[in-house]
Amino acid sequence: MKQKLFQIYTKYKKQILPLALILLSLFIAFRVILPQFSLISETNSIIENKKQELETLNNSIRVLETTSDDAVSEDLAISTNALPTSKDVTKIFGALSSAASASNTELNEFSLKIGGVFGKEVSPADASAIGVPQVSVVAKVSSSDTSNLIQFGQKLDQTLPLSEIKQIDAVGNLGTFEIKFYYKPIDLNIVSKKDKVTPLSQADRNLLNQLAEWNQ
Amino acid sequence: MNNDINLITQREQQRDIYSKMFLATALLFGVIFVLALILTLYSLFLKAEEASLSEDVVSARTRIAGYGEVKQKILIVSERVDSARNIISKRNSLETRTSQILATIPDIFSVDAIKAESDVITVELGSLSLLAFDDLLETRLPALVKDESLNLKRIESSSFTRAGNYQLTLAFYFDI
Repeated sequence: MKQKLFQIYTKYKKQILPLALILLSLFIAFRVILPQFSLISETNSIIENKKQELETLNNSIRVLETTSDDAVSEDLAISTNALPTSKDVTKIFGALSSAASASNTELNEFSLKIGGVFGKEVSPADASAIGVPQVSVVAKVSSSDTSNLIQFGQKLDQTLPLSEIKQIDAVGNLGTFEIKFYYKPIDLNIVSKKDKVTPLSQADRNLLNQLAEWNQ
Repeated sequence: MNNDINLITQREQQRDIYSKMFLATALLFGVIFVLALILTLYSLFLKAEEASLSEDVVSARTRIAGYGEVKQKILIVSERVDSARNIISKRNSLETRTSQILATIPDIFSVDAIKAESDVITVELGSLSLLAFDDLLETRLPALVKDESLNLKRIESSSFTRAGNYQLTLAFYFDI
């Protein structure tokens, strides 16, 4: 047996080395080269994502460095007046009184459907089509002139917190308004996880200015 | 005659084939080895770049965390401004539409009742003058329909009565 193997070796010894090189080349091609191609492609994609993430973070840092704390606090005050963090009855009453005063009408009474008082999620009764929770208010307003009642609605549109009149029912000098006042709770868990900070656009700035005017 | 003489022995011919085969396979191996080496080095270089970028990202996040309060305020303002824009743009402006309708009604009419909802506004009007109703129905209301900003679909008169004065109930239907 040994002798037979030796005979085979002697006969094919010159083919063994090229065959071994071919096998080794195939091994390197399949075990090293091909996996490297996929690894390189994957790493390139990760690098590209990291570069984009870093650019976003650097832009955020630039925004944070150039933003004044006082200015952003002022913007925050305006935006939370427009959309309070909870069902703020005082602000709702303030808005109704202010609109009544500006339209020469008298606020006779108002009632709220408070709905959910506490919950991690907005209760279905408070949900709106826009995705911002709302609180229902019925306000009874009187005036000697019907057009003043309509003006009450127009003034309310330009008063904070933001609201939307769903129904007007005016008979004689008494008007009943069904109004939805919007509010928006703050979820600090979500906010603190975000790292992308973009500056306010000119459109955002214009809207804030408009809200500030309505806040007066 | 000379062409028929073969000076190379068969064994030498075979040795030449073997050496050519060896050279070819050695060359193939060399190319594959060098390629594998280049790719491995390039891969290591990319891994190092990825690690460096990861460090930069962590460092940037740490810097941002230092501005925690300002960051929170900016994000809350942005979110609220977006929501406010959405609300303002999608409000039904019921009172504006009602006001536009009332503006077309002459002072000779008394507005006895108004009921406004998102898709229909009903107005009850009263007047002693029949001519005023003619003017309203034939001139003013057709002009109102032409105002495309109102999105008015149709106007219906649900009742016309006389009880002391003439009373007309108009329903304005809107496309919403």
